[in-house]
Amino acid sequence: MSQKFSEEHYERALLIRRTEDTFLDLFNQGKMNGTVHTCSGQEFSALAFTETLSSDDFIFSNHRCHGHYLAKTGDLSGLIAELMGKESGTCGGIGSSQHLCNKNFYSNGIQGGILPVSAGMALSYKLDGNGHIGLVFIGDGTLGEGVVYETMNLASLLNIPLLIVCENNQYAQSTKIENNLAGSILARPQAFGIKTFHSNTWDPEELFLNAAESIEYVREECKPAFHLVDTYRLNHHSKSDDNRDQDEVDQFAMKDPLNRFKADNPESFEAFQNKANRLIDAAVKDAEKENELSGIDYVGLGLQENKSSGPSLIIENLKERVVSRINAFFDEGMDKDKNILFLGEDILSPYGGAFKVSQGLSDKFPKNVISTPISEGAIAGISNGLALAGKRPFLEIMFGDFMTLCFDQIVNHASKFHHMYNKKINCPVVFRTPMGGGRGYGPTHSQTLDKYLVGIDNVKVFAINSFIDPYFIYENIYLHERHPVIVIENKVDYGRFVGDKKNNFYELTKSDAIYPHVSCVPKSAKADITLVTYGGISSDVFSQLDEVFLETELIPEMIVLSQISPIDIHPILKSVSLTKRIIFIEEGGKDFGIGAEVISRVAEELGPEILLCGRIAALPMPIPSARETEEYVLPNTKIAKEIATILKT
Amino acid sequence: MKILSEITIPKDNADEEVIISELSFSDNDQVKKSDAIMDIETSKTSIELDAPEGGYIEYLVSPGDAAVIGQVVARIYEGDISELVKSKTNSSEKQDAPENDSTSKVATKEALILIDQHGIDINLIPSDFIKKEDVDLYLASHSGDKSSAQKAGNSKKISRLKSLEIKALSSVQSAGLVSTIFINIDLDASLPDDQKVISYLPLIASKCSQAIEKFPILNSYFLDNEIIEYDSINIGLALDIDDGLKVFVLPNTNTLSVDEIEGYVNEGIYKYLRKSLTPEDLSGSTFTISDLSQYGVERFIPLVNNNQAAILGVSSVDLKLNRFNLSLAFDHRVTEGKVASEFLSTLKGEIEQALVK
Repeated sequence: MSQKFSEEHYERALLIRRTEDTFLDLFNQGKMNGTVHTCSGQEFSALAFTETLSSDDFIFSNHRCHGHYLAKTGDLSGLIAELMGKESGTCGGIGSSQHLCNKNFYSNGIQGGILPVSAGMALSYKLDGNGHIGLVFIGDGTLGEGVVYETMNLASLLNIPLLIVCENNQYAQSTKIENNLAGSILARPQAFGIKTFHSNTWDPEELFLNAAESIEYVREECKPAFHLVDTYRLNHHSKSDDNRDQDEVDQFAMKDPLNRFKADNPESFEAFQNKANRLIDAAVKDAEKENELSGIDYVGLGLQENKSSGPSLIIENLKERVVSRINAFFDEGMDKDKNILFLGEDILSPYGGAFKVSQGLSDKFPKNVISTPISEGAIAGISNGLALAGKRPFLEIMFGDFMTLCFDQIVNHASKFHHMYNKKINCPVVFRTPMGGGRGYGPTHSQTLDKYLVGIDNVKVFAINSFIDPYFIYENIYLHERHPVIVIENKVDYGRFVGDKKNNFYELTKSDAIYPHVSCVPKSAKADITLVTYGGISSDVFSQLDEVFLETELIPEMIVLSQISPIDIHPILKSVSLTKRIIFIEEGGKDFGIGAEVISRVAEELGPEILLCGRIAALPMPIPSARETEEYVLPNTKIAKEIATILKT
Repeated sequence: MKILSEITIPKDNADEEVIISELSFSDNDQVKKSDAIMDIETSKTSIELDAPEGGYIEYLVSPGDAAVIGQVVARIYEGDISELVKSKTNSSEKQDAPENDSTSKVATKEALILIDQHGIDINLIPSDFIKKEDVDLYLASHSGDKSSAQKAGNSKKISRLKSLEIKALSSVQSAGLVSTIFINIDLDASLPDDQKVISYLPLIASKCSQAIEKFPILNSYFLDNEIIEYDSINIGLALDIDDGLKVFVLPNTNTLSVDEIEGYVNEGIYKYLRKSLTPEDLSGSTFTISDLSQYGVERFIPLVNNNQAAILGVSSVDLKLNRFNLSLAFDHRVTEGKVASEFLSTLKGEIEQALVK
């Protein structure tokens, strides 16, 4: 493999530049939709690194990724068709300019977030010991995002073979670097003990040598490195947003290696340009004949439902706690599948996690249990990356309240990968976290944030309860889910016993679905009201069933959901069409909550049949630590009373 | 056998319930102070419980049992307890049986009030979920055949989901030998109205316990043609604020001052409202007072509790007549009207005298 810079690279750089010029032309002619970010002036950075990378190494790039993509894949027609929105494009026209996926190349339009995802993929390579590495392109503007530093710390700690290439074109969109960045760029990675390299695009020869050296360092040492490449973009940030001083742009245009080559070798340049134009014109013509991907094909058949068809099943008393059943899933699962990984903070033995879910696992499976620093954003991204690379990561977020720190990775990465890359890849990541109060942990450690986590495209949300064996839920997630999953556990539930609840007046069963819902129906009478709930508070609802009857003269029946997003409304409809009354009980806040969704779905289906609907939830306040005030804010102990109040009004 | 100490499940901030994982000794083994006597398991960790004293140990749980915070799981005795251990093993098999039968019906508050007022045997109502309409239906179809039905200004409520308590109440009442007598307590007419309408409950409880000392037959109960007399006087106060009827116990009431009783009553109400009454707070009463004085009640017939001889009802102050009514319902199998009347007039005298001061 040649690692030397040669004349051929001018030809390839010119193809990139001409391609991007064509994109701008096509936009002007109205033949393209959306936006584009060109890398004119920066092309040699892309070429220098791909020169040494092997085809099995991956690149993760950003919004300004056409050069990287062409250099890595050589797929000109796929790129052009993609930007022209055609079905034959790299990602069927879904991703377009910023969201490409092909031949170990990925890009995403979220800046810092691509860094931990790349670290996760590279970590997967390291775990497999395949000798491949990852490369992530960021810009100087990206250095403003915190997750970049969380990832550098982690990559250095875990010795992840990832080369971070920072292309410093001196502008974050339109803001000059002096107004954006304090201190030194290289001192940043150096502070994390990461080896740094420094090059520029005006001296391609040296850039190629340095790029090769940095890649070899990462591969040989199996450690991260940071390569700063000074450069300058000669075009707008995107299409028409350039307010830079023309003298400054002109100066860099004169320095530009392609422009210098043109001045020094006009014939070669002319020949390269003609060849590039021919290739591009042919690709544009081909693409113009293609169709856009139809909306129906894109959307597909939709999500499969969590169907139950057979008879209801008995709920067994397992005489084991919820926490030990979750632990058992990992214990047995890791024994069978080395791809199952348990990530999180403070999870190693002997501590075993804040709620002891991982107790003993790191002793038995030291390679599968990855303890991380307090970096929820980065570890969410690393888990995404591990999942993209084929691992089965289960990330523990110590308290549900901290899920907010993972939100970018859930919404802009995990949720979108599959569809924006036109279903080429899956991201079977699982986020586990305990929600809920009742333990006096106070405002930032007690809230139930479920409503912020539901309704995210392509992300299923399950909630563990103490009726259904959590082992069974996790096993089915492992066996059946190929897309992101969030599992809400509950702090008080951890200590409860699975299936030990009993009330002589009610029959307690579960459906035969893979994520069963629990039904609790009166044995010897017809129910008058349907109580729907999920998660930890379902135990409280159950224990207050008699009180509900006592207070209201209505015989209740209870449904406990295991899957809260998307919701299978059918078992609820079946019950409510008989009782005509529904009350939803949740521990999170009421407004815009899970209950709001369920009640509106029921209203859409049953409308005027319904005699009563209501919601019981926490008050819209941070959860207090003081015992009685906490009890006042949370609904758990006063469900029957609240139902009586709803009925009176 | 003197109990030196009782070992309870400590609060560890993790769970309401723990599992007994291992017992380190057997019943009647001799243990030394600080010996580890059992391992318990919470969701987070395993904890060893130590003996606070040396002595002979009795376990009240077995490995695998669940126990709640505060539950007594072992006792340490001063001397050998082999007799106790023997009797325990004999009776343990029998104890398992009645569990299934615990509650066979559940009734709403409104239904319970009707059931109570009409003295209906809950088992005769043909539904497991008894609503008010079920009771109405039952009454409509059975009107006239319950001559013992008691009708009065009685609004005494039964604690929730405990039709067992109805059984408890009906055990004395169903014998049909309960009689009630009334007496009025006169107040100083010259007092301003707001000083007449105060809670007399602590004073009444105090004077009542002292009167019981003179009439110990009222501190007893009828069982299988025997009258069994209690050896301490523990007056129970029937509380019913919002959460069903609970009988809160004033232990050894006759040894407490009025102020101490007031303290107990306040604590009881506080715990009732916070739902933190413990089984100890609610068990062991030997005589009950039901205070309905806050509800404008002129007079009422309270129901005698299971394993008791009598109950005292306190009605509201009548500001026109400057008096309030006390009612005493008693089990005729235990005592008779004469004794009850003497008790009640003694009590009246004591209360009125205390109020003059």
